[in-house]
Amino acid sequence: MTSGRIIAVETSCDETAVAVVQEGRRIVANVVASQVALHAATGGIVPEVAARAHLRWMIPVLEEAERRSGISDWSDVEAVAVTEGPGLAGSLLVGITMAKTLAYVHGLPLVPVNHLEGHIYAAWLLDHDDPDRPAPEFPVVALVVSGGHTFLVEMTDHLTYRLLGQTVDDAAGEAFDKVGRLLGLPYPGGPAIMRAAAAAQRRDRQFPRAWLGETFDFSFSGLKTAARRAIEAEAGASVDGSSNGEGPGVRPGTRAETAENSDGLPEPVVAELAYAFQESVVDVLATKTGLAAERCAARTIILGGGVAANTVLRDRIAARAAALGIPLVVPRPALCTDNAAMIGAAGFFRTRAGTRAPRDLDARPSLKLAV
Amino acid sequence: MVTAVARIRELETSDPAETRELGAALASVARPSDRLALIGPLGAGKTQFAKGFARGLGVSEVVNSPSFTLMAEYAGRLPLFHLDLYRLSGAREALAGGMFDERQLFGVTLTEWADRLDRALDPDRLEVRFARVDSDLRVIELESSGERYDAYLEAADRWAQRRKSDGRDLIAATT
Repeated sequence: MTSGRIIAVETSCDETAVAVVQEGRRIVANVVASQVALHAATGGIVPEVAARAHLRWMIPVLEEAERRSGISDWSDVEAVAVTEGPGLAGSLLVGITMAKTLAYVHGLPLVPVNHLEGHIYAAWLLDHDDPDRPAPEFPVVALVVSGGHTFLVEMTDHLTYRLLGQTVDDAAGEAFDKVGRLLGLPYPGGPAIMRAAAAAQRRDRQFPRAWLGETFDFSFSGLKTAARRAIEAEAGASVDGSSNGEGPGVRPGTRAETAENSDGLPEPVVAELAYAFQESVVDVLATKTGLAAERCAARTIILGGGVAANTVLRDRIAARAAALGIPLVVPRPALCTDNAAMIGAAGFFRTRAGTRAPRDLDARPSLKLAV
Repeated sequence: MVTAVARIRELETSDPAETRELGAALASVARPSDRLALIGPLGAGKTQFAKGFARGLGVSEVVNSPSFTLMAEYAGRLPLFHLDLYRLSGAREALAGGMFDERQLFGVTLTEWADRLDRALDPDRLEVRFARVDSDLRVIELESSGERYDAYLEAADRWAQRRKSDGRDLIAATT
């Protein structure tokens, strides 16, 4: 069967998702049971909630995808694609077990997909009502920025990745989240910081930028520490309690950051700090992406991952792409965050390239995209 | 009480590179199923310590913060499991989320934000507590829960001795 129709399953982190994608591009159905509302209550991804919710949602999400795509008899499905990693072992296994079962029952090939390549392949996707547009042209330079990942990669062809650089400490999304918390902003930190920054009156404060020489690597932990110090200075007090009376001889504290935000900061100060922080992150990401695209003679820049929803980052990279005379492709926000359609897109190209999973496919929590 | 005091060491590092170096020095005595709890505020050096520890175990990959991914695994002289409980609210979530598994018996487990866990779940461990003194200077306190972890204290003593004989403690004190 070479219908080009792939059913894809994604459960690597906190979204239970099933999609049907045609020829690696056209979305036939894309169902995501989002747990963001559950997470917002606790301020983060909660694996207990995640693992149980995957079990809770797996079958209903599958049935909804079957219904919407009309694949009930499965006769025109070419393969089952599934995220094998990276991610949480327990969460990945829910999707892998579902996909194995489907492949076995329907006699279809099982095709493993790397979650990170999925984020890049989201740029190939078209919604059912989108007009046709050409597929991204190689060489591609892709920046993937999310809570767990920040890296720049070059693709000279399908499924061919050369890692140009990556974060050596915190992911950009993680820095947004942690600084958001320090500023007393709600979860998730990214959109909250963007909103706060947009209202900033004072825009002259500078936070450090870690350029790391000529490399395409990123580092955000120094920025996080600088932001923290600035927030503490503005609050005029310790942010976490353990740094009270800082000075030689201070004893290490064992307490957690119980009071980890600075509730007392006036809004204009929060806005000013959020702006300075966001500028620092965006400046480094956009500059390095532009340089990488130039260096690789890229014909397309792709921006993926949850942080791609940040419009300041998109605009800044769009300007870089325009200066190089090449297109920037940013999937719509729902395709930038975790979803199965992107796994279906990458899964199609993997299927055609002959990638097959063994029947004993296991989760690969630390899977890399490239080295 | 007396034994508890005897099983504590207080060290100082004057920059992130020294924190990594201390991590690498401690990794030299790591044995299968060891558990280290890394405790301290944001930006205090937990991830730097983990990077150094990984290097000391012979891990060649880049080690970065697993706050969002919750757990990362690396291959070194021993398998390294790098956990981060930053986003969890307690022990129940960590347990049900599969943050502990039997594979950890064959490797070393570093857990950042281990103070989010009920101590009863993880009683046998080396605790590594980080405090920021100023922008670079850190005080790092090690506490061994028992004999099993005393080798780390000895490794820390040797590291501190080397640092002293290099005169780096004085440099740190005056800058």
